[in-house]
Amino acid sequence: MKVEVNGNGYDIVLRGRSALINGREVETKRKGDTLVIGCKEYRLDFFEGSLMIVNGTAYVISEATSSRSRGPEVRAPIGGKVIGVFVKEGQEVEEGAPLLVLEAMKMENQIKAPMAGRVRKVLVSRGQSVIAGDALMVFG
Amino acid sequence: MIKRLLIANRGEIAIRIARTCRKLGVRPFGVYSEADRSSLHVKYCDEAIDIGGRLPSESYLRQEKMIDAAKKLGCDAVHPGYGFLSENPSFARACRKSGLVFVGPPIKALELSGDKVKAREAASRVAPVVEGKEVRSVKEASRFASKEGYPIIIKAAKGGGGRGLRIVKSSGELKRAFESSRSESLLSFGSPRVYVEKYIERTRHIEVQILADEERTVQLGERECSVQRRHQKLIEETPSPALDKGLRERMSSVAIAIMEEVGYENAGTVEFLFSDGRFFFMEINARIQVEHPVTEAVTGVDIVQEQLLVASGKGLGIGLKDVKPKGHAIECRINAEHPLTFVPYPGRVEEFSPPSSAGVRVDTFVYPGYAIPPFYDSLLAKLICKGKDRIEAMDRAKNALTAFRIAGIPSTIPFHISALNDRRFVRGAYDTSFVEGVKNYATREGEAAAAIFSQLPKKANLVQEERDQWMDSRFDWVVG
Repeated sequence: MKVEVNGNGYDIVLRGRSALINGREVETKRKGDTLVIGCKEYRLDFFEGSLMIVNGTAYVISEATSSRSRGPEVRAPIGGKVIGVFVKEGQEVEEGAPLLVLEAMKMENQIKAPMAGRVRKVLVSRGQSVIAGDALMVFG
Repeated sequence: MIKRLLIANRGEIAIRIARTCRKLGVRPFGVYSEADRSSLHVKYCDEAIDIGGRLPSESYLRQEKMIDAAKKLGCDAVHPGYGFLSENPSFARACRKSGLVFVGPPIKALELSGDKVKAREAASRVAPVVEGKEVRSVKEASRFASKEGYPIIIKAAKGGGGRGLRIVKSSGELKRAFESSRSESLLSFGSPRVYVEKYIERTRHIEVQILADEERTVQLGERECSVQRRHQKLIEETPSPALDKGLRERMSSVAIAIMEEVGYENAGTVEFLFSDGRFFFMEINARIQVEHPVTEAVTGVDIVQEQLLVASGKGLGIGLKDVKPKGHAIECRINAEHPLTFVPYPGRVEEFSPPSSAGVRVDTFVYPGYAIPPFYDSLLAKLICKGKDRIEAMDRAKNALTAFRIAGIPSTIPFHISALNDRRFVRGAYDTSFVEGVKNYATREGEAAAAIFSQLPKKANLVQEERDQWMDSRFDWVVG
């Protein structure tokens, strides 16, 4: 399995009680939500979407996939109401450009473009309620 | 002395107020919304009344429900905490009309400080202020901007807590910013009035804690509040690493002069912008503030106790000479938020174990199994660490953060660990742009993270599913 952590790639091969990480063998043991790697304990505090928190440290993590046929999606980081959409289908945007505004917990949360590119599909409209993880837009 | 106090608030501040009540022999009473039935603050009160509703506009913002509850519970005073009705002059008036003591400043001072335009005017008689004025149209705002130059900042006249705030860097952004500021102001504060100010980049926010009674106005030193995202504070410390003795004395005497000018009594804060060795009045916060514990840590003064004494007509319990801040204190706000994007994440807290050791205080209302309601702010806990100096306070904070375990929902703990390891923070050389530059700490363990990820079951997003179910059943996303 290829895993991308904070932008760096890792090769992982699981072998029962050990794992090969980038070709190096380490012992691993699971105890509930705790994973022992070598002799250090790692507690999993939170995992959802691409955010993993271990021992109070945040990791942006995902399985590296080679095919991006469907194009990368922009997903709702939180449930809320869409109160503004700034882009149209087919529009070219720069990385960080505001895409839409989600209102949640009385705050307006601006969702920004994760990369430069073309907005292929806008899946939501103004006034619509979404839950965390809902796809909002498709790039590509 | 006040005998029975209604705490017209929720969460950690309600618990914190109840604690001082116990110390003084005042009986604390509470209120809770439908979404707060299982909230811990209910248990800290002698009795609490269900005021119904979930959204603040149906519950904690309803004046008549608060007054009714106070009467039913036989209270003689109301403490509004922070947020909600705390700075609402009409609520203070309603309390008085019903024979209840409002634990806060006099109504006139509350009105003056709540109207940012008028507060600026009053302060400008005794303190330096930034160029600014109230504007009623895009045109007026544009005229101000072309005279003063961009960037400018638009603020809600009745605002606070960063709501309605917009920084405008060029004329092209003005219209949208002006309109969204007005609509957010209307939504949050019931008034679309806004004003503009010249925006000073690379500033620090420093505030002075004031306590006052009819006779005396006392300052308890400053708090450095520059670590902010979306104009909401994340870390506060005292003393500020930016001030030397001379500046500190000047700032605190100006703060006292402002509060005397507006006829202030009880606890309040004067907020300043600080840039290049100069400071400007920003606003008065006419309430107890979230970050008050750092001041308590270094002064030993119980600010809520002083509030209750002043409200009872007994006057301040501390003497002018009593306030000698000692050591250094840092507060980290642990919020239910994505630690990198700061997007709020309500949900069920599976595990919650706060740290405890010398110099560490945790103010919270969270317990394991508690579901954070999505209707209110995202604050889970305040971690306050005190040391004999800044280095010791930072060390204690880092250790405490590492020991603090919250599982089931994300929190800002990873951010705080990153921030406290940031060179700029360590040197004390930071301003309000600090958060943007914080690099995610401890990416060295990427290998371990990858190994853990690979071991997670395919249906690892169970937490997500549970949260969705929970949200679907309990929440309609109508924000009042």
